[in-house]
Order: sequence, then C-alpha cells, then structure tokens
Amino acid sequence: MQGYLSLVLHAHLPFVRHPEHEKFLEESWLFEAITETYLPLLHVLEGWRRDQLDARLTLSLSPTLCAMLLDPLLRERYARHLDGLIELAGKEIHRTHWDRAFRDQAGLYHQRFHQAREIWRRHNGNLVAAFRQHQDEGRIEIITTAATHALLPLMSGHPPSIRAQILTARDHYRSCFGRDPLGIWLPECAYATGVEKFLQEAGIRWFILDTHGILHARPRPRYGTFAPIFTPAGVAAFGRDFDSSRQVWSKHEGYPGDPRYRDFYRDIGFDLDFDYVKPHLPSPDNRGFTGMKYYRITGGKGPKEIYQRDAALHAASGHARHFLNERVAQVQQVAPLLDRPPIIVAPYDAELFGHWWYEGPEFLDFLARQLCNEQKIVALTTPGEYLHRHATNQVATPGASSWGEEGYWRVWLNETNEWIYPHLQIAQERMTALANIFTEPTALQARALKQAARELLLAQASDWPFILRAGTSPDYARRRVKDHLLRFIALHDQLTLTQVDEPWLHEIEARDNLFPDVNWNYWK
Amino acid sequence: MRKKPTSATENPKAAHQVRKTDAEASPRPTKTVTTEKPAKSPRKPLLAAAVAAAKKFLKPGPAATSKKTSAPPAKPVAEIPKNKKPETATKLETEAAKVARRKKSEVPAILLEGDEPAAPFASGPGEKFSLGATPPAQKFSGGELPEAYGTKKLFLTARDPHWLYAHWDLTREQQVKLNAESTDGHLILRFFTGKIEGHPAHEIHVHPESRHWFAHVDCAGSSYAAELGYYSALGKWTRVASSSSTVTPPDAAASESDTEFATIPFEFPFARLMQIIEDAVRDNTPLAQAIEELRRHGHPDLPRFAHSIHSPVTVPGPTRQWTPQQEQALAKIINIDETRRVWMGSLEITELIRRRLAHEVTSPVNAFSASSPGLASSPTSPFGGGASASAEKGFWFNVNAELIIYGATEPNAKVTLGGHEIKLRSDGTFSFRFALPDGKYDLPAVAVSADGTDGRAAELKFSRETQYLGDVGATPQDPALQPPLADNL
Repeated sequence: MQGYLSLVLHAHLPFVRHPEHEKFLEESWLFEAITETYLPLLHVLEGWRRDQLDARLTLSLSPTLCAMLLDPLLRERYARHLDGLIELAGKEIHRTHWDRAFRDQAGLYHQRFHQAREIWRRHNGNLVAAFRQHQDEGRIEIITTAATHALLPLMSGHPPSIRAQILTARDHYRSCFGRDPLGIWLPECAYATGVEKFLQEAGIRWFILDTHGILHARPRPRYGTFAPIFTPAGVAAFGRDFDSSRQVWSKHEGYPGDPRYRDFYRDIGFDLDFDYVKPHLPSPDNRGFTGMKYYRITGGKGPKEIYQRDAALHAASGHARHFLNERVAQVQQVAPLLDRPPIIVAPYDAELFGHWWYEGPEFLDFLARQLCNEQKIVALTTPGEYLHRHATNQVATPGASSWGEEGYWRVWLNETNEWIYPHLQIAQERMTALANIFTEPTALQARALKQAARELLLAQASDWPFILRAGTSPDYARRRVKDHLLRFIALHDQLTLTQVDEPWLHEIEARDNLFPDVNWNYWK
Repeated sequence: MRKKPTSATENPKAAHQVRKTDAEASPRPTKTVTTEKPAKSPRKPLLAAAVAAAKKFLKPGPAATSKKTSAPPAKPVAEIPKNKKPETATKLETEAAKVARRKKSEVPAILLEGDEPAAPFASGPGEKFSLGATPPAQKFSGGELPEAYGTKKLFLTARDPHWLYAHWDLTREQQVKLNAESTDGHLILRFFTGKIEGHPAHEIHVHPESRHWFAHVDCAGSSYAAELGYYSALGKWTRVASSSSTVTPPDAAASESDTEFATIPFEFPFARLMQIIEDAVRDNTPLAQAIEELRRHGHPDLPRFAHSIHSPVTVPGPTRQWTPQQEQALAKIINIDETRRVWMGSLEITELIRRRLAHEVTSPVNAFSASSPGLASSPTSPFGGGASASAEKGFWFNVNAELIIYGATEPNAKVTLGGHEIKLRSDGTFSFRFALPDGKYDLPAVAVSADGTDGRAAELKFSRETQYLGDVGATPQDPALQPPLADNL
C-alpha cells in the first residue's frame, strides 16, 4: 500500500415539509433522492457487507436531511410515493406491451422500485438507523454539517451564529448516531478564519476544503493536498484533490455526461398523456418528473436514443477502471516524494450518484470492488482513520475559500440574492439580544425562544440564495426566506413588545418542527 | 433491437394524430349510420370523395383532436383498421362536407403543439434542485419583509479576494434626510485597509436610493473596514456609520514556506487536551503550538508518539531533510495558480455540463413559463446598488478575456516565444491560447531560419487592467489556460 483514497459523499437537502398541502412539489426533492440515491447507496453498502469487502466510505448526512428522514409525515408520504411508482411501472409495462425496447425499460424500473421498497421496508423506513448501523460496523464514517447548511463565512460578522449552527448540528448528530461527530462537512466547503474555533469547541477534529483553501494556506503547506494540515486550533483540514474532481466533473472528460448514460430530463412525466401520468406527478397541476426515464443522453443534436442498461453499466465499469488507474498513477508519482503515504480526498454531492447520474452507485460499487480486489497500491480510507495513523502534520492557517463558482462566496452573495443578508444580520443580532435578556423564561417564553431559533436557522440556509442564483425554483426559495424571517420578527416582537400568541405558536411549531431541543443559549 | 422509425420518437404527437384519426374513422359495427343528406354536396366520384375527406381528417381540427395529448412512443398496431367499408366513404364524405362547411374556428394553440418537431430539450445528467428543464410556475402568497429596520448600522463582508459587500440599514426617510444634507445629494462609502483612519483606499459615491454596494478592492488577503457618510456644504466629512472589519480571502499561495509541525493524538478528545494545556500554559497560545511546546519540555501526559489501533507506531515526525529536489518535484504536481483553479461545486458542474450538451428551449405553450426574476425598476441606479431593499433583481453580467498568439514561418525554422522554443506544426504554423488576467505581459517572439543565417523578431506587449462598475463576475474559462508568461509555454 503506497497511498490512500478517501471517497466522501455529502448528502444534504434543505428542510422541506408542508403538512398544509396534500402534495407539494418541492417535497419531491426528498422522494427522488431517497429512491435514486440513498436506497441504492444502502444496497451497495449491503453488498460490501455481504461480500466482506474491506472498503471505506465517508458520508455526510446533513441535520435537515436526517430530520426529514426521521419525520413520520414525510416517511408516510414517501411510502405512498414508492407504492405509486411501482403502480406506474406496472401500468407502463402494460402500455408498452407491444414495444419490446420500452417494455424492457419499464420492467427494469419495476424491478428496481420493488428492490427499493424491499430495502425501505426492511429498515422500517428509518434510513438514519440503517446508515448508523454501517458506521457502527466500521464500514463508513458519518460526519455532520452545519445545522441548516448555512454559509459560515458570511456570518463572520456575528460569531454566535456560527457557533449556533455548529453546536446545534453536533447535538442533532448525537441524537441520531449515539456518539459525537469527529468530522464535519463545511457547507460548500466554505471556510473563513474563525470557524475552526467553534469546531474545536464541538470536539470536531477535521473538515474538508477546496483545493485552494489548502494551497493558499499560510505558511505554504509542504505536501499540497496530499496530506492534511492542522489549523492552529488543532482541527485538521483536508484539501479536495484536483485531478479526481476533474475526472468526474470536467466538461471535456467528465463521466456523467457520457452519451450512454441515462438522460435526466426525458421523463415520461413530460412525454406521455397528461391524464395518464397525472396521479404520479410531483405537483398536482403541472408536468414534472415521475422518475421513469427511457432515453440515454445520446449526445449531438439528433433525436434521443433509447437507454440501454447493459451499455450503461459497461460504461460505468470502464469509468471506474479509468478512475482507479488514474489514482494509482497519482499515488505512485507522489508517494516517493512524501515522508508518509499520501491521501487523495475525493468529495462529491451524494445526490450526484444515482439521482443526477443514474449509474453513479454502480460506478462506486465497481470502483470499490476493483480497488479492493485487483490492486494493492491504493487503499480506501476515511479522513478520521488517516489522522489516527498519521497524527503528525504541518500547522498552517487555511485560506478562506469554498468549492463554489469562482472559489469564494459569489454564488451566495450577488445581485440575485443580496437582499437576504440585511434581514439576516438584524435577525441574528436580535437573537443574541433575546438570549441575553431571557435568562429565566417562562415555559411559554421558552417555547417561543426555541421557535425563534428554529425560524432563524431555517432562514439562514444557504440553499435559498443558491436556488435564487441557479434559478431552479426561485419563487419557492424567496417565499421560504420571507416566511421564516417574518415568523422570526413576529416572535421577536411578541417576546419583547407584546405577548406570545400561543395558538399561532402551536401552529408554526407543528410546521417547522425540526431540532426539537434547540438551545437558544448558543446565540449568547 | 430495431430502432423505432423516426416518426414515432421524434413527432410522437403528429404520428399519434394520424393513427388516432384513422381509428376514429372506422365505424363501430353496432353504431347506426345515419346518412344525412347534406344540403349542398357536390357530386363527386365516390373514391375521390373518400380520399378528399380523409385528407381533411389528417389536418388537426376541433373534430380530430379533442384532447391535449402527447403520444406514447409506441402504439399497438392492432388498433389501426385494415379495411374501410364503402359506407365509410359516404360517412366520410358527409362528415368531411360538414367539417368543410363549419365556420373556420380558432384552433387553440395548445392543440398545435407538437406538430413541428419539438425544439431540443435540456439534456444530460441532472442538476441540484432541478424540477424540470425550466423552473416550475408557482404562485405563493404571503407577507412582505420590512423595507429596513432603521438601526443606521453599516455591515461589511468580504465576498471574494477583490470584492466587498456593504449594506446599511436606513429607512427611506432616514436616507432622504441624509441625502439632503449631503452636497452630492447622495451618500459616500469609504474603504480603508486596516483601521478607519487616514486616507481611504477607495471612495465610492453610491446612488441616492442604494442601500447596498458591491465594491472592487485591490488587496486580497487584507483587512478592510468601511465608513458611510457624506460631505456637507462646507466640504466637511460627516460620518453616518462605520463597519467592523472584514478580511478578503487570499488569492495566491503564501510566500512564507517555513514549516512547523505538531503531533495531535487523535484519540485524545480536545477537551482533555485543553485541560492539559490550561494547566501548563497561561496565555492564549493556540492548541497546536501549545502541545508542541509542552512536548518539547517533556510534559508527562502527552505521549511522544500517537499509538493507533491500526498500526503499532506512527511515523516519528517528519524527516528533517526536505531536499530542494523533493520540493521542486512536488511543486510541479501540486502547483496551481489562480487561473488554473477549478471550482467544481454544485452549481458550475451543471452549468459546464449543460453548456456542453444540448440547448434548452421552452415551448411557448409549455406549462412552465421560464420564470425570470422580475427586473427591478430602478431608472436612476443602473450599476452597483439596487434601488430598493426588496428589489428582486435577476440581472447579472460576466466577462472574461483570453489571448491567442498565432503565427507562421518556414516549417523548419526555430521559433522561440518568451525565450522558450516552441514546436511548430508540420506546415510551419503555431498558435497558443492563454488566459488573460489583469496584469502586464511581455512576450518576445523570435524566428530563426534553419541554417541560422536569417531571423526576425517581434516584441509582443499586452496589458489588461479591468475597472468594474457594479458586481461583475468572471465567465468560467478553460482551467487549463495559463497567463501569457514565458514559463507557461
């Protein structure tokens, strides 16, 4: 063994839960991710367990995602959604009876949905517990991220807000996984000096930065991203490997864009008769994704061609081999130059594997198996394990950075979304004032303080400015920010000027019901 | 597997309409055919009439397509009737005549959708939060946020190595009042490196309605503070608010390379380590440094080497000798300067892949209208600051620059660019693409004939110096491009 590869998957979705609607469009983000990423990922891990593969994976499960995966209402809705998918696949098999190519596709979906439901039922719909078990068995390392995935550097002017995001996440992780988190995924890998102080307080030992966060560290890190550095506070920072990112993401050579892979956009929800697909659409009135897609990317400008599963799996296996060979070559080139085995850190959004890139989980599986069974130069590890083995590292202060476009924080702070920040900054200062005033609140006041904390955390999510910039669902994102800020302002006014409105508080407690034990004192 | 004929996959709606009308045209055996005598039906041979009628049915009309549909890619062949009885022709003729005599009615646009081949759809792998090729049309009702809170505070945040974001919490009335006191009729932002004292590094006049500003500054990796104020009639500077400081991120590798190492045993919780340190060290030394100091003084509680459960003994500290050759070899592998930096997070992945693959076009009748954020109506402030706090602008602007140096000479000549010899193509031409960030560049080009008796030279000098007005981004560039420096050839 000459070096290590650490695959890190960051699974996160913003908290979306609308009990006031029978069906809500944006809840489909969760349902799609469960069907196409989380359940297939569990299936891959179960295969590793069954085959006793010595593979390792690092998985970040965000607090908002865990909250949704554990929420009874959303679990019930997902179970119904999955039943609906199986029903749709059955209807499709019937409809495509005379067309062999499409019928085979429908049959494939039917089988995969059944498999997904089988895994779902086996774990009683509790995926958090399912992943926890894999961590307890030593196969994966689960790390946390900020409570509502806020962009921490943009809170540098109000340190208690950073502290609250991190400690709330730490508390939630404890309740989900029965231990303290040792690693954290900084949202968007966004780091600025000062964040590590609160990581140290939470007992967190390491985090990940984009490549230039390490390369711009002061003093200059001797080993680049091939070894971690210790921030002066003692928390370690790992840098994303440049080449392994490029291989998956590059517009010139990236794997997911291969024409053999399934096309994300040609969904039957857009192609087929509206009345036929309507019961299976994510939103009651508009066309949208059902989850059944029959075409492959194909490339070029011609008509899309039908998906061929075998060819796609063959592509995934080939790409896994290519990726592995590149990592082996990389380790062989770098290892002799270092005084310890290099580590290649390869982080990705979890939803890439399976949801955006349908064959992603199979790629991961091929990669792990080829790596473990066919060579001995590179071994899989987790950052925590690496720190266990190599406790001596260079001390340096990382460079403020993120993995967003242009490498800093432009994505989340530009003309499309800057309007959010003045409101957040006032709200944050008000939260601190509330925490300082109410040292001995009544029971009702305590409930209001907790809810104010929840509303503020939800307003701080970086997903909203991201969506405004990306334009995927801007009306919804805008409405969410306004609703949470308005609720916060109302609670603040009730606590400081008038009186807490209990019936209204009860109603919003039932809606924005994450972090039941949130501690408002973190904002002091 | 035989590919389906193009018509089925490409024009599903058109194909569907053809088949559907044929199906509709065949009479059911049990249906009573009541042949109406048309009032004025021209006499025509039966077959010709049938053909003419059939042709009329092939065009979309209120009778032919009553549903807004999109055909499934496959339609069972069995449904299409094989024979047409003679009665059918008469029926067709009557029906056709009826259709022809009906008043020409407006065909709803939705029914014509799909008659032309659909414009190329979005294509490729998915992206974060995507709900379709275009954003969904959604309507939400709810309250509006207050315009401002009137705290008169100035907030400053670094956004990039060279961009700061400032916003000030003034209500409209407060702002109007202050504008009135200012000789310029508007407020002014001053940016200082370090503390707010002496001469400002930048002074920016903001628009009368602005409540925020994106400011371009010179120094990456530096501390900035800002002041909001105005000049009164007497030319005196009056401060309205001052911000706390913020630090711009660095945009280059550090020059300091003196390295310092620490051993922090992973199995010791921080809480425990802090205890050990606090007992022994009095001032606010950072943990990593404190541990090493204690270790040097042989503190009993700190193990000299960390023992892990996986391997008996770890590497006993870094090798003291770090040869220049090692450093150079590694530097080649890990060196990326700012232009080669690849930012591949969730957003640009999708933008880059999307740009590479097909285009997105929305059908005008599509259920999802391309929801573009409303353009703010701010006639007086086109650049920089938004007119009102609740402006929901979507406007953005990205710009970047590339340089191509190209030329030709005899194929066997020797050409150097910036002192480095370059390889010519077999026809004697060459071309090089460079990224062009701000800076001055000097690239002499020299060509010498194969026998060395003749030569020519050209000294190419470039400079890029960008000045910004408002928040301007940099269009992503091929990360492999380097600036036009001799070393990058």
